[in-house]
Amino acid sequence: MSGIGTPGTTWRWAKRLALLLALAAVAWLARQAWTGHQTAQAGARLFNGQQALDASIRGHVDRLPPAATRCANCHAPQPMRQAALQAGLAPEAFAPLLNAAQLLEARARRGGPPSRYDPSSFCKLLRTGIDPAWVLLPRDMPRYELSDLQCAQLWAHLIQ
Amino acid sequence: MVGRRKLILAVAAGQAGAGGLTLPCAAAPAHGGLGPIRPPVPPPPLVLTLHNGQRHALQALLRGRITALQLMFTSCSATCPLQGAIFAALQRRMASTTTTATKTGLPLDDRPGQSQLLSISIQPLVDDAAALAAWRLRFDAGARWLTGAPPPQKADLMLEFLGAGSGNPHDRHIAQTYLFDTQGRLAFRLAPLAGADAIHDAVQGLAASSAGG
Repeated sequence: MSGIGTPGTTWRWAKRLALLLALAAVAWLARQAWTGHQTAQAGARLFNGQQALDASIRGHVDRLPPAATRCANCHAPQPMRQAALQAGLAPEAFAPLLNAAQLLEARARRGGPPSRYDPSSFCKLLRTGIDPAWVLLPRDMPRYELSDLQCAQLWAHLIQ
Repeated sequence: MVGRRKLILAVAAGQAGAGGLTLPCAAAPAHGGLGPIRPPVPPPPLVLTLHNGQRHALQALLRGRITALQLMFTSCSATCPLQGAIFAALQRRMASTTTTATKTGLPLDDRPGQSQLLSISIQPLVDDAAALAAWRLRFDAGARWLTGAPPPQKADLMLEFLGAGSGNPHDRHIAQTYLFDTQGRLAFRLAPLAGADAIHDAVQGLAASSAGG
């Protein structure tokens, strides 16, 4: 029988502590993953218009209706592009598809300097229409009035 | 009165060209596809099928009132929802300023029958009366906001007439608003996505010009 402070007991306690820490780490990681997943899901709802975004066209006093502020209207692969082709419009005339590669890799916009996004510059663009390379976006990209949380949710959805 | 008309048109053209900025030289004849058309030009002879299924000659629809016209198609999810929202806001302006216009002595373009909105589809193959009616519902379009589609074989006529020919798909300017005078002639072009205020000002200016001959 070994008492407290003996080498055997210390070893057992150390193993228990290590196990406890490992479990805590797994739980923390799972929680982080779940929270990230939830955040990205909330971003997807904003992106697809299931949750309304507040926006207007630059220079206009009128707020746009939710149906006109959905990111997916222009930035998602959907029948709209087919319709554009049918109408004789080049799909390149519309907005780029948004994903991690599009946002995180440096890309030139309309022949300008390359832009690469991070959460802060992404939110700035949505609110002001100005990209990280100081390129002003066209007026058909609405200016959004977003909370920091909404920005983070959209960002999480797009870069996942 | 003439000075006021000129001022209104100048302001509208300035907003048309600069997205809200007013420029002192903006009343010059159409520049870069924007501003007044001198002389005004009648549209091509087209028959439109409206959202209610009725067929009307475009020229007859336009004659007798100031018309703000835009091109769209009902399955468009990019700029057309923005255009619809702008016309919806313009429709509210027209409804709410009737009394004000009367009191202030401004041109009475907002009396029923004096001005109207017209959205014409550039995809007549798919935009039948039912599709147009559903599109109107999305924007709560009232009696003074018509939607119509030309015959499919004449779909490009309107694009070409408005200087938005199908030759260069990047230069269609389908988000522009075009104003027609009371004689049904194209008289003014606004910038792509011009706001409801700018369009309303231009409609008032055109109404004043038409009234003054």
